Formats: sequence, C-alpha cells, structure tokens
Amino acid sequence: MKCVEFRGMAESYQAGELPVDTNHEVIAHLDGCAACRGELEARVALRLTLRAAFEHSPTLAPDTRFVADVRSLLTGRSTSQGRFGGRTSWLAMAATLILVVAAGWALGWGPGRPLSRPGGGSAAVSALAAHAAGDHRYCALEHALDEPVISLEEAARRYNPAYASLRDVVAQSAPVREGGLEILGAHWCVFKGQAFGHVIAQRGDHVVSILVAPTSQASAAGSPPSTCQSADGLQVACFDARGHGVFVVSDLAEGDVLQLARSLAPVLQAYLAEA
Amino acid sequence: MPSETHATETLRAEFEATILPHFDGAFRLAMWLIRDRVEAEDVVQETFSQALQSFHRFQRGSNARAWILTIMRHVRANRNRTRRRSPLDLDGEDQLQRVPAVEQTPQHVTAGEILEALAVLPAGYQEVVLLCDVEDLSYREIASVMDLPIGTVMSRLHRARRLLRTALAEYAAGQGIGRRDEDAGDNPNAQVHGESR
Repeated sequence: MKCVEFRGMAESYQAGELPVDTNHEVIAHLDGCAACRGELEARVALRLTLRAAFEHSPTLAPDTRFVADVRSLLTGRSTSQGRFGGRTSWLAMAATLILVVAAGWALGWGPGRPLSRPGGGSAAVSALAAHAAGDHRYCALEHALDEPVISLEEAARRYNPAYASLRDVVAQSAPVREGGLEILGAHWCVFKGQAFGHVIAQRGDHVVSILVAPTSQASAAGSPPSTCQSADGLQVACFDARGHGVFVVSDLAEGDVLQLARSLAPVLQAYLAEA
Repeated sequence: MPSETHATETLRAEFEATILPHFDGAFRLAMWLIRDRVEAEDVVQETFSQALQSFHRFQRGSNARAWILTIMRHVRANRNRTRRRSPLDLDGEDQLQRVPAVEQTPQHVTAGEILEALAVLPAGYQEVVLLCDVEDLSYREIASVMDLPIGTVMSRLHRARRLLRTALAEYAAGQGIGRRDEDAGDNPNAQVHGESR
C-alpha cells in the first residue's frame, strides 16, 4: 500500500469501516510508515479535540432557565412565566426523568452516597465528583477509558497551561516528600466528556488519583477540602483552587483520603492560583 | 388497570434509561446547527416529546442516540417547512470547488480553532462531521439520520475533512479562515474557546 492510498482510506480506517483484509493492509503500511502514522495521530487528535470542545462548550449547553422551567413544571410552581406554559404531561414526566438522569450522571454509575457538607468544593466542583471517581476507576484502576490519554505537557499546550507542572507540584507536596505517597504517572484524560489533569499515585497497596479540572464557577480564593462523594468503595475529597476543582480519589478510608487532600491542598491551591 | 400501569411505568423507566442520557448531546447538536437558543429548546423539547410518544416503536438494541437524532432532524425539517424557511443548506458544492486541497492534518489545534473552522463549513458538512466525530455514529447510522445514501455520507465526510484541514492550515498560517471575522458577530459558535474558556 502506498501513502496516497492510505490517505484515501484513512477516514474509513479511522471510522472502523474498512473490510478486514484492507484493514490489515493499512495496519501493515502504518507499521512501516512514520509519516502516515503521524497523519493518523493528527487526525485522531483533531477528532478528540473537536469532541472535547463540543461537549465542554458552555455556549452549547442547555440553559439553566430551560432546566428550571422543566423543574417548575415538575414542582407545579411558576408555570405561567415558563415558556412551556401549559404543555402536556410528558414534560412533567420528562422533567422527572431529566432530574433523575441528571442525578444519575452526578452520581455516576451504580448506587452512591453524594455528600454535601460545609466547606469543600463549590457546587460546580462537587458536581464533578462522580466523574472524578469514574476517571479513577476506568483510567487508573482498569485502564479502560474510551479515549486515549495525552501527556500533561501536550494538554498544557492545547488546552490549559495549568496542566504543565501538575506532576511536579504534587511531587513537592508533603505526602510525597515524606514518603507516604509515591507518584506512578501523570497524563491528561477524558472520562464521559470530562477532561482531567491526572496524577496517579500509590499509598501502600492503594491507588490514589489526584485529578484537576477547570471550572468557571470555582471560588477565587479556594476552599478547604471535604469529602464530596462516597460510592462503590471509592472516597472522593474535593476542593476549589481558583478556577479549578481538585479531586483526590481512592479506596482508602474516608478519613485518610480527606487527610491526603488536606495535605495536597496548600501546594495545589498555590500553584493553580498562579497558573 | 394495574397491568397497564405497570407496563407504562416500565416503558417510562426504559425511556429514562435509554433515551434521556442523550438529552445534553441532542441539545448541543441542535444549538450548534440552529444557532438560536429558543428555537433549539423548542426543537429539543418537541423531539423528546415525539420520542416518548413513539418509544414503543424504538427497536431495542439499536443505537438510541441515532434514533433520537433522526427524530430531531425530522422535527427540524418540519419546523422549517411550517415556517416556510429556505431548506437546509446541505450541499455547498460550489464552495468546495474553490477550496484547495490540503493533504496534511495540522497538529496542536486548539478547541477554539477547530470550532471556528467547523463553523465556516456548509451546514450539511458540519452535521456529518459532528455525527461522526462527536456523536460517534457509523456511516450507516449517519446515512439513516440524514436520510442520505451511505456513499454521499462518505464523500461528504471526505470533503468536510479537506475543508477543515484547509481552514486550519490557513488559520495556522495566520491568514484567517475565509469569512471568519465577519461571521463571528452573529455566530454563537465563534464564542467557544476551548477548555480554558
């Protein structure tokens, strides 16, 4: 197979639409052609960038008013001003379902115990706790994310400079310096449309994820950590850090995870305040 | 009757689990394609209303996302007809003829750049790219959603990629992307700027 032939079918290859034989020819060509591998990687990156941009765009997100109108129908309040007026009962049902599903999304998969306590992350940060727990499970523990990961350096160039030194900052924290936490790796990854800067570490036999995600609603000054979710044996402690949410996720005891978050908070909040 | 009530509740629970997870994605696609929030809300509302009413016809095991997006496209088309709007621009062949071929995909593209580049494609080309890349539909599913032959989906994707590469290459070269500056004023999509927004 020649490069020009590969480029002609790269779209179909990427979409998984080629016949098996042709697919094997493409793979054989890619094995020996760095230029076409580079082209394919660029195409994959472009696709992932588009997907992430689309799924994270606040401009494209459903308006809170839209959701509020649905909710008002559910609760029977202020329907006269809602743009749905007296629309049929499906909406009330849909509102119920949307709220149920939204709650399901917030909780992630399976049964969980969302916690809301004084201090800790803002509502925007707490809402990402289930995604953080999911990322920990499917990325750090099971290596089963749908999307490929990229380096923090690459993510810093593409998306957010704050990712650049994330690993180094965690390495400077007291738990790592004192030997209570060993860093295993770091990268940028996406779980269910939510991107994270991800530092994977280990305490004893327990894997710990430190996850950072940008959020426009995080408090400017930062907040003390608190436990924001406990589900499926995973504890999530979270805190604000000037435009970012930080999550510490592990199957350690709730108190240990919270203590770890408290130890990490000073360096991460200082770093993200400057980033 | 208790059995009927039970069946209805079962159906609704299935609707909740199968269809409603696609609410956010459907809204984002509608918002992008329609570029009017009120109209997008009406379209999505009507789409899910129709989906609920016809959920008994949903084929279990098939792609729920493709199913809801097919309904949404019909809703958009019907509303366009009712309002006597001009039909959706699904071709843009003339525009494509003027686009020089750029074979190499640019690297290190930001979210803002790719959305701006996407926004200048003809509407039908934007839609096919989004259904493929964001909604993750197969060629066959895209063909079903857009009511197009599968060959047309493939050629449209190929041309859309070429347009995107060209727009992004021009962007990278600092030469601007077509009418990007003029369009930015009334294009809600041009306000989107990557993860750091």
